Amino acid sequence: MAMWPDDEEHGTRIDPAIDAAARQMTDGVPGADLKARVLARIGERESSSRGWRLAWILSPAAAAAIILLIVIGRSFYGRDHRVESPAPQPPVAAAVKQQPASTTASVRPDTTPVTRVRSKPDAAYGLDANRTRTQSTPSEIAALVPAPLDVESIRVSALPPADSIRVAPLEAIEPIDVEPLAAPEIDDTQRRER
Amino acid sequence: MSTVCVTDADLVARARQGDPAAFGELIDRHRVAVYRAALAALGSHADAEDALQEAFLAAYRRLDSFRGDASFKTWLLTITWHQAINRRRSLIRMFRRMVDLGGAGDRVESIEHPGVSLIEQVAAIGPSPEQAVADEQLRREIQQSIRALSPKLRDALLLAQSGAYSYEEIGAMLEAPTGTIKWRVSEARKAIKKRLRERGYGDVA
Repeated sequence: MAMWPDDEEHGTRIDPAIDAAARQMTDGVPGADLKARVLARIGERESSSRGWRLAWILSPAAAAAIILLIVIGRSFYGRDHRVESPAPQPPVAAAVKQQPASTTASVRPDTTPVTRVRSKPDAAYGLDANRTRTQSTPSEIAALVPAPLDVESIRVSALPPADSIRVAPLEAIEPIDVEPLAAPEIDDTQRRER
Repeated sequence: MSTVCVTDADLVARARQGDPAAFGELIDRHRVAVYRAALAALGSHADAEDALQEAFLAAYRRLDSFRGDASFKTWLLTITWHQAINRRRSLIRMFRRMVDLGGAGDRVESIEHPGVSLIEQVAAIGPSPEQAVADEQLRREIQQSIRALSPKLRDALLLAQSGAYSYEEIGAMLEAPTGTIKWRVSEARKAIKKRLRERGYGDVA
């Protein structure tokens, strides 16, 4: 229902004005440098993504290199500590081999454990270890090395060949027939006694 | 081969393979239509430019998702519209200023013709100063009425009257059937007329 007496006429007049006003509100062109700006940003993005891709590729290699360095560093560190430990004592077994055989005494090899240095000693333990290290000099350690033993090499003569053990075959056992058990017959008097 | 013969689909295929010039050609082809959509949503040239730039970047990133079901223009307009709407939501203060009836109408004009007052423009063009002033007054009142519409009606009206899109393209942008878009445009007109009548524009020539 029309609220205005000349609503239709008003509508025909006002519609073009509405169209024109709306068109004007959306009228315009973007700046001339829009294309250049967009392409520049695309270029920036691609270069940064290329960097990220490179980082993704190189990061496993870098991690492997770091692990390798750690392993190598640890092996060198361990070798240095072994050098710091007291001079190795000559193995007794080797000394025994080098000497001519004179006795038949059995020789037990020196089972003294090789001194090992802890990489991170406990506070209390570390104090003793340091003290030991400062007290023992290489000359003292060399003095503690036992003199080489003069022992004969142990010769074990071969055992004489023994007769083979002969086992006589077992005799066959006759089969035993087992009969089923039968209940004994009990009369009334015996039952009462029981 | 001339670029005139190259279709949008060809350019998209080349752009997918990393040819920036092909995407630049797509920008040249659609920038005005896309810009008007952003302007319809945002009402500000500066914001529309920013939204347009973001829309083209988003389109470039999503080129692989373009399947060719709709035209590239429609696909691009949809992306642009979403970008513009997101921007409109984030710029809520500017949105309120747009809807505000007082003084918002001068903003578009001042951007389009900086340093020139509306009266001077009208006086330079119109047949008679009185008539020109009256027409300009009406136009400003209509624009204020358009800004006062609900977003759904305003978007449909501005996109339809921009002359840059079909109803199908507007429907794709606004995610509504074509019939709904037509209904919204009609409702927008009715609301503007009603407001003009209330403001005493019954005898508009």
